[in-house]
This record gives sequence, structure tokens and C-alpha cells, in this order.
Amino acid sequence: MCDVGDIILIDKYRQNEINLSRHSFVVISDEAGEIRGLDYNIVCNVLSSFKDEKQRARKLNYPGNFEILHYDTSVKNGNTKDGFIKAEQFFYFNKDKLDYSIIGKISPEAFNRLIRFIESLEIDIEHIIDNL
Amino acid sequence: MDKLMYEKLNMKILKEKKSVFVSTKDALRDVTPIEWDEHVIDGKKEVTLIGKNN
Repeated sequence: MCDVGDIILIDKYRQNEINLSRHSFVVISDEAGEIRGLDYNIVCNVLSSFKDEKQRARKLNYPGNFEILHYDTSVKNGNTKDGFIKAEQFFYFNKDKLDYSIIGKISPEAFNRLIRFIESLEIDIEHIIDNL
Repeated sequence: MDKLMYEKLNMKILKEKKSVFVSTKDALRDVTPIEWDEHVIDGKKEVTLIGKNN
């Protein structure tokens, strides 16, 4: 069972040619709901890393990207690299159909900043429901 | 001192914003996966569960 703020890795899951298990997600909501007739019970944002400082500056210039510093997260054996959350993208999952591992947690302070960041977004919200 | 709690995202706010539906493939196009240590990815016994019940 995962909670809001958890960082999860999805195990052995492929959607077409996309291997989701390479990606890390932050659980942004664990309330069940329905979207376009499909049931979900967790909603996640994806975490991304920076390839280099040049890309970091470019990525953080995009209004939907929320910077996450390595000390904002707690991951056992984790790295010390910073990254960002694509805050305008919402991945809907049904955890009953997923195998996943909780690898850590984002701090409440950073998570709450993320929530306020999302609420203030003035760009299109992207819903990803093809994993339901 | 009170422990800081995780705020809840108001999903209604999302529905009020202009929205589009995109595929997983398109959504992940510009995402560079975080390269976790192999002990994070493979060593499930090493995973730390820091849930509210722990």
C-alpha cells in the first residue's frame, strides 16, 4: 500500500513499447475516482533527472517543471542528484493491477510546495489514462 | 511541535483547468529516468518503506 508522497517504481510493466519500470513516480493522490469511465486509485507525477547543467537551466525554464533537490527526498541507497517533477502531467493508475515498489518518500515540505505549484499552474494539464 | 502533514491535492482544481489527454509514450518523451543505484532497483529487501504505518 502506498501513500501520498511516496516515490514508487513500477515493476515489469510495459505499455506498448514503453517500459514504465525505468521511471520513478511520486504519488500525488491516493483517492479513488473515475476518469472517462475508467477506475483509478492513485494519481502520480513522473520524476526526471537532468542530463547536465545546460539542460537543467532549460528544463527549469518550462512552467510545468518543479525542481526537486536531492535532500527533498528520502530514498535508501539513493543518489545525491537533483531532478524535477513534471507537475502538469498526471498519470492515473489502478494499483490493484500494478506491481510496484516504494523506494522512498518526498518530504512533506517539498510535497506541499508541489501541491501549491500545481494549483497555480496556468498551462494545460495533461492526463495520462492509457495505463488503466 | 506538530509534525508537518502532506496536503491533499484538490482534484476538482485539475478538472477546472484546461486539460488534454496524452499517451504515456508522448508524456515520457522528454523524461530522463533517474538512475538509481542498483540496490534501489534490484534489492527489494533494501527498499525503505517510510509510510505512515511504519
